[in-house]
Order: sequence, then C-alpha cells, then structure tokens
Amino acid sequence: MPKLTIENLKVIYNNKKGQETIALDGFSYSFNEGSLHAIIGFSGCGKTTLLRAILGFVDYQGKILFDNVDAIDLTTQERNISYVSQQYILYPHLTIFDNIASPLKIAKAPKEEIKERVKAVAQYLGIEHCLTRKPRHLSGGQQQKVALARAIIKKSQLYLFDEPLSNFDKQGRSEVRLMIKKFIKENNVTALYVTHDFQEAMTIADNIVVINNGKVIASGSPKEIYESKNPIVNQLKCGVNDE
Amino acid sequence: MKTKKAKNDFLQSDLPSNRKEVFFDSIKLRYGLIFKIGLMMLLFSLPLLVVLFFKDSYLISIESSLSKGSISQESYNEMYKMICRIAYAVCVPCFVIFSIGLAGSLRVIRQLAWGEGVFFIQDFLDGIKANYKHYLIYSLLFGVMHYLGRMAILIDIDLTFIKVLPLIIILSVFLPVMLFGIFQSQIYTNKIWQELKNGAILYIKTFFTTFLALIIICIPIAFAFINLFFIKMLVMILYFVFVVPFILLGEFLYFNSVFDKYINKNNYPDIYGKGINNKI
Repeated sequence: MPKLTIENLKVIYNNKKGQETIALDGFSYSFNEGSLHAIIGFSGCGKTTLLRAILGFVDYQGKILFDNVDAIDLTTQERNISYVSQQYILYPHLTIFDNIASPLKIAKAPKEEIKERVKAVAQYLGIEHCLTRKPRHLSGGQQQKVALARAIIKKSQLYLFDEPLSNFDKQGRSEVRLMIKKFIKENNVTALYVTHDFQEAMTIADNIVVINNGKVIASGSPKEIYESKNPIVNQLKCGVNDE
Repeated sequence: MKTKKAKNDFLQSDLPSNRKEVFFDSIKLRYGLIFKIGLMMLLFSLPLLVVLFFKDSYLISIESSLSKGSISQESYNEMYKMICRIAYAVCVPCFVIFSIGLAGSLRVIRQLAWGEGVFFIQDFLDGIKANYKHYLIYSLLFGVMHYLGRMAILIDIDLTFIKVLPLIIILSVFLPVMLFGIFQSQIYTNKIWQELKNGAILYIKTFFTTFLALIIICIPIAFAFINLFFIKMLVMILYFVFVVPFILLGEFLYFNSVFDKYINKNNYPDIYGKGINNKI
C-alpha cells in the first residue's frame, strides 16, 4: 500500500461572480500506509475537498504524493483509488450484482472471479439476498451498502470514505462501521474516512486528523485526540457543530 | 441523479418463493435481458425463416400458376412435393444452427432463473461451448425425424390421420424426451443416451404436465394456418423475438422443477430449489 503524503495543498473555488473561497489552505500531512485515518472537522472545513483533490477531481496547488510519485503524473485510474461518498450513485437499470461487479467488469476480470468476489463481498455486508434486485427495491441503508461493496470489491491502493454511514440508522451505523474497520485491518490497506461525528472517528480510526479552515490543527491516535486541549477538538468532542 | 429508495429493507423473505414467482419476477426485473435473448434466437432462426420464406413463396407461385391454368393439377402436385422435400431437407441444417443459439440462450436463461449474475455474451458462448455436441445430435435427430414426418404427409393415400400420425408421434413422444435431454444438458454432465433414458422415464412420470408444456412449445404449428404470406413472416419474426424467450424461461423453470423433484432432491441437494427462496 502506498504512503500518501500531502504537502502544502491549497484548493480555491471560484463562484460565478468570481469570488474566491479557500477550501484547503496549506494542508500538509503524511498518511501512513495500512491504517485507517479519520478526517474530522466542522462542515465546510475542507474534508470532502481533500478527498476530491486526492481523486483528481479538483484543481489544486501543492503536492499530493503516492509513494513519492506526484499525483499530477498519474491518471485517476493509475491512482487506483476506491471512493464512497454520502451521495452515492448506483446504476438504476442494473441489478445489484451488476452494480457491485461494475469495477471488475471495467477492469476485465474473469467471469468466475467476478462472481466469487461479488458473492463474497455481498455476504460480508449482508446483502447477498439482494443481488438479483434493482437499486429501487432496496432501502437507503442497503443501497449505501451496495455502494460500499462496489468500492471495496476492487483491490485498490487507497480507500476514501466520505461520510459513508449517513444513510444508516444507529444500529446499522455501528454494524457497518465495524465491517469497514475489519476490512481495512484484514486487507492491510490505507483508508481516509471523512466524518463530522467525533464518536464515529474515535471508534473506527487508527489515527485522527482534525481540520479547521482548510488546515490540520491536530492529529494523533484516538486517545491523543480525546485528551487534546485544542478548543476546536473540544467543540467537536462536545458535539458542537457550526452547521 | 437520485436513486429511488424503498421505505424498508429488502428481506430474504421478499424473494420469489416458487418457480411461478421466479418467472414473473424475471420478466419484471430483466425484460431487457429477455429481449436480448429474443434477438439472439431470431438471429439463429434466420436460416430457418429464410427457408420457410422461399418455400412459401414458391408454393404461392405454383398455386398462382395453377389458378391461371398455366400448369396442370398433376404438375402442381409434383412441384408441391418437390418444393416441400427440398425445403424440409434444408430445414435439417437450419435446425442445427438454431440449436446452437438455443444452447447459448438456455445457458443465459439458466443463470437468470437461478439468480446468478448474468454475463450475457460470455454466458451465451459458454452455453454453446459446453453443450454444442449434444444439441447438434438432438437437432439432427429432430431434423431428420421432422423431415420423415413431413414426407409421410406427402404420401398419396386418402387417410389423413395415417399421414399425420408419424409427425404426431414425433412431436408427442420423441420431442418431449429430447426436451428433457436438452434441459438436462444445461444442468448436468451426462452422456446423451443417459439424458434420453432419463428423459423417457421423467416423461412417463410427468406425462400430463409435460404434455401441457409441450403444447406451448408446439405453438409454431399454428403458423401454418396463417394464409397471408407477409403476415405469417411478420408473426414468426415477432414470435422469435418476443415469445420464444418467455417460453424458454417458462420451460426451463418447469423442467427444473421436475429435475428438483426426481433428481436433485436426493442426488444433487446443492442445486435443489436453486433460484427460489423457500426450497420446495
């Protein structure tokens, strides 16, 4: 798994009137391989923008390095990243099987391998009975599981999760959270997990990165973050949100 | 783009619990795939349709000549027989070509009925690869029997029943046994004589229900009663695209339920009730 290093990352959005919004302002961090990193912060702090920059979806200044190779030199495919967003999109005309299998079909994996892996990942997420259905037959939580299954079926270098549990109820959240954690550990992959839920970050992550105004303001193990005296961290801890 | 969501989780118990439900469920969910199967069936039945097209064209032409008085009744009879002989003989290789498409289509239908992932082209080709030898023999056998049955109709005797009897026997005795063989080929790896032997036994055991299933398969016989040439061709084309895949799906589910009852329950429990939620 690659080491992901971000150096002085700056992302500026321009609106139609030409006004600038700085989403990330000199973000620097080195994400260790084989760990689950939770990215936490208030809404609008740049969490999702960070993931979009890593994916190559937005223009940026600064450097994103995969094992010291600049992301600029890599296409989105070469970055080999799996991404699950809170606004997941499933192909409505395809069955759940075909939705989950789509990354492997694009990668032209053999038929038998696709079948095996789809069954295994569906079983892992408890949606194996849904494989013949279309997305519209499934609840929001189940659809989110399908999006998750589609992301983890592909053997990627890096997994990006952008609030992937937003469609689940409390019980579903803790169940899927454990599944994600187990998957990351078992496969020894690197994952960035964006959330604004402090408790969620504490339970899932090996390492927590706290962002505010597009910059890293604190990082460390869940225990270190929990014990941090940083006022922003304390606000997040208390569930105070600026939304 | 927003995906529609169900209010509640989709549960195991919501899956079809019998083969009839699988049939309607498949139609509702996979009509696009079924349409693709129909197009493939049309493609592989094209030689057969072309032969029937020319046969009917020639027959219309000699009928017209007869009505105009340009040929005698005797010449008409001779020409009619000759056209039929040639057409039904050419039908034999056409049945073989059709059987290749059938081998592929039935594999796709098997995947669909069993709730497995469908890879249309790959499954279609796999079905041909795995079964072409058996289907070749079945189609040759059927083609030759069909030819002989048709030739019997052309014999100059007055007893119509005697003339059509061989064809009736072929369609009601040999065809269902072969059908059992054709569907077995998609599921098991038996020798052809074993498939036919099993087919004969299962046909006797399930005579009435299989006979009903057979009537559905014999629908194309009714096309002979359509007098308008182009309407007949159009009906046949539409039949292959829009009706044949549904018949194949229904027949696969029927034969699979027979296999479940008489073979799978004891011998292959892993495929017993495959594709349905509540095992039979």
